[in-house]
Amino acid sequence: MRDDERSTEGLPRGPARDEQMRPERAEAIAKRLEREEAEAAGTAPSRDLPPTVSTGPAWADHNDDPPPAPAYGAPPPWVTGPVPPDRDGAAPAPWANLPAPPAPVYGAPPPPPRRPELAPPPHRPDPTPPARRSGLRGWLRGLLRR
Amino acid sequence: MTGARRTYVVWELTLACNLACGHCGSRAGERRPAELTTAEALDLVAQLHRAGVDEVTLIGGEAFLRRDWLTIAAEITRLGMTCTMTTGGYRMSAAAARGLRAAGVERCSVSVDGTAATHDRLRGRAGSWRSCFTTMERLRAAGVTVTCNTQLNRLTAPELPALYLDLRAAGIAAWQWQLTVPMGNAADHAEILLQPVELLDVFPMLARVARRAAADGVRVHAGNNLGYYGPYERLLRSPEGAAFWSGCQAGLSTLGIESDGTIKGCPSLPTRDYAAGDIREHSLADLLRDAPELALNTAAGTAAATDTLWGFCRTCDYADVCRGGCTWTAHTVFGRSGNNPYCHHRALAHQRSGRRERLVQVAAAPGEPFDHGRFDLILEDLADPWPATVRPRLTAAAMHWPPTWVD
Repeated sequence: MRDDERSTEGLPRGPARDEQMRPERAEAIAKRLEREEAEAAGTAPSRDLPPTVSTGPAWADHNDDPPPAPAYGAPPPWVTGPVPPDRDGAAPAPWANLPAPPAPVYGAPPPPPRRPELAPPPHRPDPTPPARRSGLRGWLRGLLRR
Repeated sequence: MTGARRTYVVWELTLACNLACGHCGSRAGERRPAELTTAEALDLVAQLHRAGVDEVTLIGGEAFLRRDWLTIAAEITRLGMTCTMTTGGYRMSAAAARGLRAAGVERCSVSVDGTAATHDRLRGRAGSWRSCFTTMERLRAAGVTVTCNTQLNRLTAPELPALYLDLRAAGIAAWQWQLTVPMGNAADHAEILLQPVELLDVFPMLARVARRAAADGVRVHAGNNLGYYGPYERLLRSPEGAAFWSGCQAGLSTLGIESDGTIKGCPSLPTRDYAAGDIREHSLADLLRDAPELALNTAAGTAAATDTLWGFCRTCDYADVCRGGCTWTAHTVFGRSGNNPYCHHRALAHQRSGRRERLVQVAAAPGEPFDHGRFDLILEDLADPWPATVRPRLTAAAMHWPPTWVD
């Protein structure tokens, strides 16, 4: 796509950066900052500070009561496994717990709505009368029922 | 780094992550339930191009945990946009680094937070600091320009000089600093945040490191929530010393994309309050034209620019230009933007009147990605003893300057 085919409804929006401030305002701010820079240059203490020799992280030296380790609670599940292999971008790392990406559907017609699963019909008593039992087994059951 | 850039998008490709950072604003780890498919992502790339985007930075989570990350990167560069990447740098293989370069990505920023023990502690993975440097080596070998970004907080700030020496030795071209903000996991660990008054001691240290870096040819760049004005503004904002903060650009020249297609004016803004819409339901052009959430800064440069300011920022000399600094930072502290306590000019102004500002957390974050709690602002005498119930105050004496440091 060529530049002249771009939409006009895009970025940047609103006033351009160089229109957000009048030139005389920008100049006044620059002069003030220049003055403050000069003042600070005369009072900068940093160059006189002796180097500090550290035997550990700075927060350990300067906290009387450093938070216990681990500082941020139990490690979440994705960092408790073994050290992962280097990620090469070709296949998902097993520790990343990435499910397979869904098939691309954007721009394609939406798939037809899935038919709802057919639920089993509610149980109803069978309206047909039980078949009349006959034979020796039926005669015996009738006798027992009596 | 991107002087010619006019429009910029930061795109969270996935929320899946191989680290467990105690300061992660998006609470990354598991992927989002409905992340964009490859086809949806490629369609969004085309929409970004049509919208006039110059540069896209891919982030996560960890962007390279998406199978199609290189496909997306290659499509961005094929359409003529600059594609960069920000990575946690944990175990990116040499093949992945070469793939990044083959996709047309010329720069990659690796996140390194302090020296080894601090980084591993913050990032939740033993060995992750070392892995960052291995990743940097692999990127350089693949022909990718390596830059770094570092969070500034109570743990990392004192170590910045020592870290600089390590990064310089690793051959970085540029280094971006950004304050840790009480969002996501960081809102659950407010003790690692800097207090506003501590900026008085942090900024001279930053300036000293920045001057050393400039002399070494390493470009230091203050992130959008680090400032504002004061004696080091121009040094930190641009090594040439010409530029200074000119207000939040969210929605004006910047957009953020979450991995499920949510569009925001800036990638860091709280989703709940600043989500403009879902790219699955609206085109980017429609969102840019209609969404009020992307119009939060359109009053810039007008008399209405200061209407939303309150507190100190309302009466500040720089109010019309600064517009309250970083919208994200202010919102995550107070639950609304327009008053930003993380400001060097403000800390200096209070110091001149013998006062200081300190934040006390009064509400926890609910536990969602890009969420936040709430803080009360305490304005007190500068000479008051530091409360015994909070961690010790960070001062200039706590900054670690390695014996080998040379100004």
